[in-house]
Amino acid sequence: MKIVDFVSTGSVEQASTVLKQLGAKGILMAGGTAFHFFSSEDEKTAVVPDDEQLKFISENNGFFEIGSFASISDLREFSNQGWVLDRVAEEFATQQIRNMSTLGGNISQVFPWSDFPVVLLALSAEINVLEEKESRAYEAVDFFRQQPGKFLKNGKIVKSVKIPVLEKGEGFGYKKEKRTNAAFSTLTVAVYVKLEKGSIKDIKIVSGASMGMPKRLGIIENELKGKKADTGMLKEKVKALAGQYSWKGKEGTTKEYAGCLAQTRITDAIVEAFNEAESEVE
Amino acid sequence: MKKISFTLNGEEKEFVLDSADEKLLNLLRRYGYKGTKWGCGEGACGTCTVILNGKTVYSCITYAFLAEGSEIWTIEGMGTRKNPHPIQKALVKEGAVQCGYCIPGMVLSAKAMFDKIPSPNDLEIREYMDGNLCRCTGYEKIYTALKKVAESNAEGGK
Amino acid sequence: MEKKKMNVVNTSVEKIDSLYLSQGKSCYVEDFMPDNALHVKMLWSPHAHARIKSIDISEAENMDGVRGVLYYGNVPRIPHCTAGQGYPEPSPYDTYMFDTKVRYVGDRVAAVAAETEEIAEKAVKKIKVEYELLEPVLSFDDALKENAPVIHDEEESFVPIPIPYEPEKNIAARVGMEAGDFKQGLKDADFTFDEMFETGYAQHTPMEPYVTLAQIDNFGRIVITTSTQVPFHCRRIVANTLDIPVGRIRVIKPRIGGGFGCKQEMLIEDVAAMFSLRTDMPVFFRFTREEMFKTGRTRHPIRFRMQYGVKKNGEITALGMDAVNNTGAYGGHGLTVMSCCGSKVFPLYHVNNIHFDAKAIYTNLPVGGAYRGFGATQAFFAVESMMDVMAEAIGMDPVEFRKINHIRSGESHPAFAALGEGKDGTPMSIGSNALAECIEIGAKEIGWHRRTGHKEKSGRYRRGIGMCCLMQGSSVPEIDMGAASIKMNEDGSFNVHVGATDLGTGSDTVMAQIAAEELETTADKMIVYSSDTDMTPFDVGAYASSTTYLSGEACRKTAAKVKQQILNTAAEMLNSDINELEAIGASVVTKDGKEKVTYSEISHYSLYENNQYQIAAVESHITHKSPPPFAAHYIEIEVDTYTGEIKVLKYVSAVDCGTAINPALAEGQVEGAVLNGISYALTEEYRFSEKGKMTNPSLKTYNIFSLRDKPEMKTILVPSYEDTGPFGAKSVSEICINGAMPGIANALYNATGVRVYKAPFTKERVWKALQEKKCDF
Repeated sequence: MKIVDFVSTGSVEQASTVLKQLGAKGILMAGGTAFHFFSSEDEKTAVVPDDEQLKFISENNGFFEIGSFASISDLREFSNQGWVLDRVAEEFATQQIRNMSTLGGNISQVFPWSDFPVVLLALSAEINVLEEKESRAYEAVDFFRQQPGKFLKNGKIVKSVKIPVLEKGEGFGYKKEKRTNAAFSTLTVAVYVKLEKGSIKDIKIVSGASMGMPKRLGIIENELKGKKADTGMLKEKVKALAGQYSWKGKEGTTKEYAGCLAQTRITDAIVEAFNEAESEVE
Repeated sequence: MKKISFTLNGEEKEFVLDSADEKLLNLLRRYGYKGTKWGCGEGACGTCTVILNGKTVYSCITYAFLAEGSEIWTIEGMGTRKNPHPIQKALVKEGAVQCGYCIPGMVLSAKAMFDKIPSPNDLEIREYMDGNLCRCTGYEKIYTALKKVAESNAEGGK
Repeated sequence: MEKKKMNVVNTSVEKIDSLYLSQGKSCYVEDFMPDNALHVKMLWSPHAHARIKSIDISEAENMDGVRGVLYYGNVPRIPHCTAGQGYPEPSPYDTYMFDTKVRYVGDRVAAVAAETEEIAEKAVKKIKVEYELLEPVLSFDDALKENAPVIHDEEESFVPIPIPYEPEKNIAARVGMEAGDFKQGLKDADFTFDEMFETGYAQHTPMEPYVTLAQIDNFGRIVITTSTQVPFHCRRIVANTLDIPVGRIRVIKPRIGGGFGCKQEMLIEDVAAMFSLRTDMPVFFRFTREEMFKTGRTRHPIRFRMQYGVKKNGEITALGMDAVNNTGAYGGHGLTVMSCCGSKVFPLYHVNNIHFDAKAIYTNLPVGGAYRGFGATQAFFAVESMMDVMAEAIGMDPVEFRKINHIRSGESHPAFAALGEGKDGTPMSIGSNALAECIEIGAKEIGWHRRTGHKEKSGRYRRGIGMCCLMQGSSVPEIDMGAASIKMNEDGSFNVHVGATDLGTGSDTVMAQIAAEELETTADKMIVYSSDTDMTPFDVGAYASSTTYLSGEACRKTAAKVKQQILNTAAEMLNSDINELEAIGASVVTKDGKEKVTYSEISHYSLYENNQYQIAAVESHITHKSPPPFAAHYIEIEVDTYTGEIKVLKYVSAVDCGTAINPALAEGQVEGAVLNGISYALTEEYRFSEKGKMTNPSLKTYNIFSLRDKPEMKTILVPSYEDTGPFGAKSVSEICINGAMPGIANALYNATGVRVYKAPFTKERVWKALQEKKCDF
C-alpha cells in the first residue's frame, strides 16, 4: 500500500464522513494500523482521527468494553479480575508491534494468523461498528463470517469491542504455536468454558492459522457439552474429532503435523480453561 | 509538500515530508538524526526503534504523518558524550556493545521500559526487549546491563 | 615467547568505540551517504536456471532520473571469484559482473542507478527480459545424477591454481585425505557404524545489511566506503572485475554492523564502483532483507556419510567422512569449507585410519559462503553426534569416551598436514590445550552427575543433558598475513593503524590492549584506526579466526619494534646503555631506578630536540601454525514429546582460547556464537518453492532468536597459554557456534532415546523422529 495523501480529522464520526467521500481511496489509520482492507498495490488516502477518544478500556455490567484504537500493549497492561486479553497480548509479535497495533486494526482485516478474531469468537464478543452515524452491534460470529474488510466500507469503522468479564466457574484457554516468541502463529486455539458442578455447561473452541480463517470447532464443542470436565475423556474426544477438520501446514510445516499439533494444542487450551474455571470455583 | 510538526527530543520542530508515504525513519535520517538505523524495513529487527508518545515503535514502518503533534525521542536525545544515559553507561560497562548497530534501538526500548517499570523483573525485561534483534551478543551482556540498571533503580527507589 | 606479568592484556578494558556506538554517532556506511548519491536497484533473476535470450533496457534507461543501467552488454566480462580469500584463490573464477545466463533465483540480471530509490525500483520493472528456461538443479541428488544439467557450461570459467574443478559434472571443488588404513581400521573394530547426516541453509543476518558507497575523489580514484570484512581483498577483486589498477581504488571500512562471514565477499561493490566511474557521482547500494536472504551468502548445506569403527575399550579405529557440499550457483568458498570439515574437526580425537572425500557441488540454489564456523559447524554435528552413538554402543559415558580420546598438548594429527586451502596443509603439533579442564568444569556446571538414561524417563515433557567437545583453528597458516603500523606522538599516545578489520568484534580494542601491553603503557593511549587500503597496512581481513592470533601478533611485533626505538632514544637522552634500561609505566627507567624519562619526554626529544626522527614501525606477521581453541559444551533441554518442541534450559560453554586478551569481549564472542548456534539448530531454515525460490526471505519468517528466546547461558573461559600467539592468545570467535547442533541432538537422545540426523531440529522434524522411533508416550 502506498499512502498518497492524508487527512486529519477530529472525531471518529468526522473521519467516517471523510471516508465516505473518499470511497475506495480512503483508509482509516489509527496507532500504526489500518482499519480497512488494502493490498500491496493500492494507493490510499489516510484518514487519521484523533485517536485518544477510542483508546479506552472500561468495565460495566459484567462486560469489558474496549475502544478499537486501544493498542495491543494497552490490552497487555490492563489488569482486572476476569480479564484475559493480557494473555493474548503477551504472545502478540513484539513490543513495538504491540505498541503500534490496535485491536480494531487486528480485526478489521483478518489474516489466517490474526490472533484476536480467534479469541473474540471464543469469548462471544460483540463488535460495535459505526455505520451511518450510529453504532451497530455485531456478534462476533456474524462479524467474522466473512472477511470484515469486505463490508467495512462507506465510512464504516469498528468502534469498540465488548467481551464478558469472566466469572467464577468460567475459564479461558489460549495456545499460540510459533517457531520463536515473535513469529507468526502456525496454530492458534482459544477456548472459553463454563463449568457447573464439574460438568461442561458451555464451551467454545476456536482455531486459526493452520485452520485457515478462524473457525469454531462445533463438532468438538457439541461432544463435550454436558460431559464431566475430565482430562482423559477430553483427550479422547479431541483425538477422535480433530480429524473432522482440515488442518493446513503453515510456515513450513506439513498438513500431517498440523493435524497432530491441533489435537495436542486444542486439548492443552481446554485443559488450561478447565483449570482456570475450577480454580475459580474454589 | 506537507509539513508536520512534533516534539523531537524535547524540542518542538517542523518537518517537510518528502511524500505522504514517507516513513518516520526516512524523515529522521533526512534531517540528520542518523542514530536511528535501517535494518530490515519491515518492522522486524528493531534497529529503527524510537519512542513515540512514551511507547516504542518501529520508525521504518511508521508513517511520518502519524507523528504529527506527538512527542518523539531518538537516540540523539539519550545522554551526551560527557554525560551518557545510565542505560548507555551500563551497556558500555558490561561489554554489551559489539557491532553496535542494534544498540541505539535497544537503548530506546530499555528507556521506554524503565520509564514504565523502573525495576522490571526477568520476564518483563524479556517482554519489553523482544522487538530488538541482535546477532552479535547473544543478548547475554545486554540482559545483564539492563538487570543492573533495574537493580540500581530499585535501590534508588528505596 | 616468555610469559610476563600482564597489565593491560587479560583485563576487560571498555571496548573503545562502545560509548559512541551506544549513542548512535554517525559511523556506518549509510551514515556517510551524501544527499546527491545515486541509488542502485538490481533486477534479479526470477528463475533458477535460464539463459537470457534478449534484454531491452531502453525504456528504463530513458526514464527521468535514471543515470545508468548496467547489464552484460555494457560491462567487461571478466571471470572472477567474489569470495575474499588469499590470492590466487583456491576457488573457481566462475562469476561475471553480469552474464547471459542466470543460475539461481536472485542472480544478477541488470542494475539501475537513479536519483532516488523509488525511481530505481520503477526503472528495474521496465527492463524487459526474455528467458530461455533451463532445467534447474535443486538438490544434492539432482546435481550428481548422470546427465544432470550443467550449471557452469561457459568456457571462460577456470581455477587460478591447480585444484580439482569439473564443472561439466557440477563439481566446483574436491578435497580429501587418506591416513593409515581406513578399511583395516573398520575390520579391527568391535563395532562399526555407517550413518547419514544433513544440515541446511542458513543466513548470517547481521543487523546491518550489505551496504556500500562508491565515490570519485579529486584524482578520479574510486573511494569505496563499504561494509566489508575484507577491505584489501575487496579492492583487489573490484580492480580485477572492473579491469582497472588496484592503485585507482581506495576501500574504507568504517564501523560495520556485523558480518559473521557474509561480508567476506565482494557482492555489491563492483556495481556501485562501476556506476560511480561512469557517472562521476556518489553511488549508494544497500541490500533489502529479502536480498540478504536470496542473494546474500549463506551457510553451505552439507550431507555427510559417516563411517566409524570403535573397539570395546573406546579406541577409535577408523573414521570415514564422505561429504557433499551444496555450494549453490557459484563456488566461492566451496573447497575451503569442505577442507575445514576435516582439518578443523578430525584432529580433536585420536584416530589413525582416516578416509575423507568431499566434493562441493553446484546447484541452482542460493550461494554458500563463509559463515562463522566454516564447515566445522556442519561437520561437528555429524562427528559429535557419532561420538555419543559410539559411546553408547560400547557402554561408556559420553564424557569418559571423549576424555580418553581427545588430543593432548604435544600431539599432532595427520589432518593438519593433509588439508590446506588449495594445497597441502601445515603439519603442526598442539601447543596449549585446556580441553581436559573444560570438560571437567563444564560437567560440574551443568550437573552431569545427575544425568540419567532415556529409558528412565517418561511423560510428555522430558529433560535431557547432552554435551560435545569442539575445536577450531586460529588463522590459515602460511597463507594469511596481517600487518600493523604504529607511530608515537609527543604526548605518549600512539597511532595504531591496522588492516585487521573490526566488524563489531572489538578487535580494535584487542589491538590497543596488545600494543599497550607490549609498549608498557595503557590502552587509552592507543588511537586505533582500521581499516583503509590507503592508510593502513595490508591484512587479509576478519576471517578464519585470525584477527587476535595473527593480526594481534603483527601488532605486538610492531609495538616491540617501536619500544626498541623508544629505548634507544631514552638511552641517548639518559646517556646510558640500552641494556641498563627498561620500559615501565609509560616511562623508561634505569634498572637501578635512579633515572627516568617519560614517553612524552622521549617523543618530544625525538620529534623536536636532537637527532630528530619519527618513532614508528611497521611489522607483518604470518603464522606457521593454526593453534586450535578448544571447548566443551553442555546443554540441558526439555522436550515436549507431543509437539516436538525443544526448549533449551541451560547452555554451558567452557572455552580454552588461550589468554583472553579482553575477557568480556571474549565472553561476548562465545555468547553471540552460542545463541546463533541454537537458533541455527532449532528454528533457522530456508524454505524453497518447487522452482527453487526461497519463500521465507524476511526476518518475520526466518526466525532468529530475540532476548525473549534466549536460554540461560553460562560462559567459562578456561585459561591456557599459546606460546605462538600474542601474550598467549588464540582464537575465540568461531568455535562456539559449532556446539548447539550436536549438543542439542545428544541431549534430545538423552531425553527421549531418539536421534535426529537432519538439521534444523524443527518441532515437526523432532515430532516425526519421535513418531517413527515410537518414543513411548
